[in-house]
Amino acid sequence: MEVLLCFVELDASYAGNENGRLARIGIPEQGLRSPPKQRGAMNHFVESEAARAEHAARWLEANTPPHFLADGAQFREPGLDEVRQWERALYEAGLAAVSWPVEYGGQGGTMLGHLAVSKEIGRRALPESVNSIGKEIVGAILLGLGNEVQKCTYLPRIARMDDIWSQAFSEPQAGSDLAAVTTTARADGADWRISGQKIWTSYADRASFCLLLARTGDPVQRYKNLTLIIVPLDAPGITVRPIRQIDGSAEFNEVFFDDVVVPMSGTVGEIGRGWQGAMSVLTVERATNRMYRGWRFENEVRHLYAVAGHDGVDFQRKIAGFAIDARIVQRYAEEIAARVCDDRPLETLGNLMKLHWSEAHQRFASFAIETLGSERPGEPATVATARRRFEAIYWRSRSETLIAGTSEVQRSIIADRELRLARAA
Amino acid sequence: MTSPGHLTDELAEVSRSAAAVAAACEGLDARAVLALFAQAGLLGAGAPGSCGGLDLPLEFDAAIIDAIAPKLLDDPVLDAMLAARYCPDVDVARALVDGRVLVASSFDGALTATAAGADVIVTGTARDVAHGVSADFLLAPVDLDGRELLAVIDLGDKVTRRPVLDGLDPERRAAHIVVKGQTLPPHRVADAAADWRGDGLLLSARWLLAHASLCLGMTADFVSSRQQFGQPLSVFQSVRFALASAAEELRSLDLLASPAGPRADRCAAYCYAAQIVPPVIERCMHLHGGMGYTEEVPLHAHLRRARARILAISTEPAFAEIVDAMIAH
Repeated sequence: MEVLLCFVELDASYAGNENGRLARIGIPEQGLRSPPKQRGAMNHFVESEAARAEHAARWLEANTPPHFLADGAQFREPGLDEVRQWERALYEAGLAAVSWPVEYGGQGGTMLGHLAVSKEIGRRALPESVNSIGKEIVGAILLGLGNEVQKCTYLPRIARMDDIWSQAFSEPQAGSDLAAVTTTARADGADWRISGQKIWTSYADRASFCLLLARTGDPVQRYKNLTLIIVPLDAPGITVRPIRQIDGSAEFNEVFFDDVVVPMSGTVGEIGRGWQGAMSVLTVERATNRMYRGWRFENEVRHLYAVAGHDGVDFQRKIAGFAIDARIVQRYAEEIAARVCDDRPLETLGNLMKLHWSEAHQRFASFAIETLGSERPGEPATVATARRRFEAIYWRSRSETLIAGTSEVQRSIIADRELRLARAA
Repeated sequence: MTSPGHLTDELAEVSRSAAAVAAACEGLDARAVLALFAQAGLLGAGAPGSCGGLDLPLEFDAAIIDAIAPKLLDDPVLDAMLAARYCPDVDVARALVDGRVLVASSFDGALTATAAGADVIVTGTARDVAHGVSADFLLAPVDLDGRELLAVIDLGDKVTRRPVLDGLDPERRAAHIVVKGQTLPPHRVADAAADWRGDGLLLSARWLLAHASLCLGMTADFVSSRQQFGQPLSVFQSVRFALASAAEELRSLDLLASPAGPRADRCAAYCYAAQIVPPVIERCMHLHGGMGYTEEVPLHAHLRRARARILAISTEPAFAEIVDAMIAH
């Protein structure tokens, strides 16, 4: 809550200002405008979000299984069911779906409330969510584009971890060039008949549903005739093939659709306007998904510093540099949350944050494994634990400049929208 | 610059006022520049009312720095605004606000003090002080038995100046200042060194950001208009990506160096600025091709200023503070 607290302090610092003094440097006689009308609301946010953060900290302190913490002596990789139960417990404690409306199973809080909880989660070396796509991407799309039946049906189940979701957008020939999607959905009475292939479909092997981006009309118009459709993954004609990744896990999948029939009532938003929906997903994904990342990054830097046993100037500089990178990611998250709450445009903040985080985190992961080196006889158990953690982070980090738009995609967007560089005629 | 919404209009006013004064300063020396800024009421933006200042928050100093960077006037103005905000001696602070004195600053903390009754006696060498050749006073931290105080040192008393041959930025007229046992009365020292340094680091980060942003803007315009192989340079992906990376770094710095941000971010803001700003400007020079290597394009002047300031304010203590504050506890 540093940002808002600072705003309050700033207002207080103005209490003694007199208008005449401002006129001396060219500011009109009426001086500073009155503080904004929402000031009371901002104070309310500070109080309520501080309370939310305190509740989160206390609950996590009391309820986190010791073997969940990757920087702890008792760490043991939790299984899927354990993490699922854990996430359900988080929800029941009011620490998930924080910003969703109460009527759809949420806590009725704000994005700043979500951030307050995310900070506390990020500060601890907890396992990654097994349903972040459901909670942070599909949930956001359904809230924005879904109809009332879809919201009431699916959102509470996502929040409670009854259903895990995946996102079926990318295809073998439609990665960064997402508008090249060829998986088709053909109208057949009250149903869609779907054929094609998706890839990089995270969690499809364990998910109940996927949100599919399919072509529902003429492919010549690349950005038109794309539609978002809810597809139950147990529907006949679907084959899921897990792809083993370099970090040893198999979260990614290929999903094959062979004349799969699903009801048209599962269409999210307007038929043929799925591209706009997909873009809103990516905006959300880059800007608000996993808002805890900056605090988790800081947790990792602290962990490495604690076990590395170095105190040379060069090591300190590098560690401080990574602490700065973590702080930058945190500042982006704080700015994004504040803008969402104030209903101000996010512009390219999501792209900037994603680019900074993924590139810096990758550098950090390489530095961590180089610092810890290989196993040495008689080394403390804490070092061995850290090495396991950072090796896993290192492998996983290789995906971070690819997921949710590669670094090259982010730079292209920044060049266009931030710098407005001239393009080819 | 990120700023609370209700300040935007006032900051814009101050910014316009500073830009107008800066435009009138071309060709003037540091003292004349300070006099013009004082006349416009800008040097005392953050100084206490008791010194004739306006007691405004740091956002206003930052807005002034953003506005004057294009004219390369910033060194004396930045240091004067910061000194006016913290100067323990009310008379010197008043003279600063009125533009009657030139006060240099040293951040390196190499001066020591011993107690002599209520007074302190200061000795040591402040290295590479911008405008140290001609300044009237030096604002610097002094170590008194492990306690850091902020001191105002009279450069006309028991002081030797050794001009620095500054190949990076000759206009700074820097000097090493050797202080040989100058006695300071109580009103010349204050327990404000940490806050002064923190604000100084933040303003320096914004100062570096302003220079780099200007260079990036110039370069974006240049590559969008310069035609090679029958199309603008900006069409080429290597050019677009190089500038997009620079834009990302500067936006990150903008967020980190927000005057409204937590004080704990100030060391981080300066260290990050010191790390990214010279390479950003160098990249801009490179993308200007041969013209970037000439004095006809002013990029070199911004790089000189940036490099010289970073050399004068070491990042080592700030890095150590970041580890202590953010990581080690």
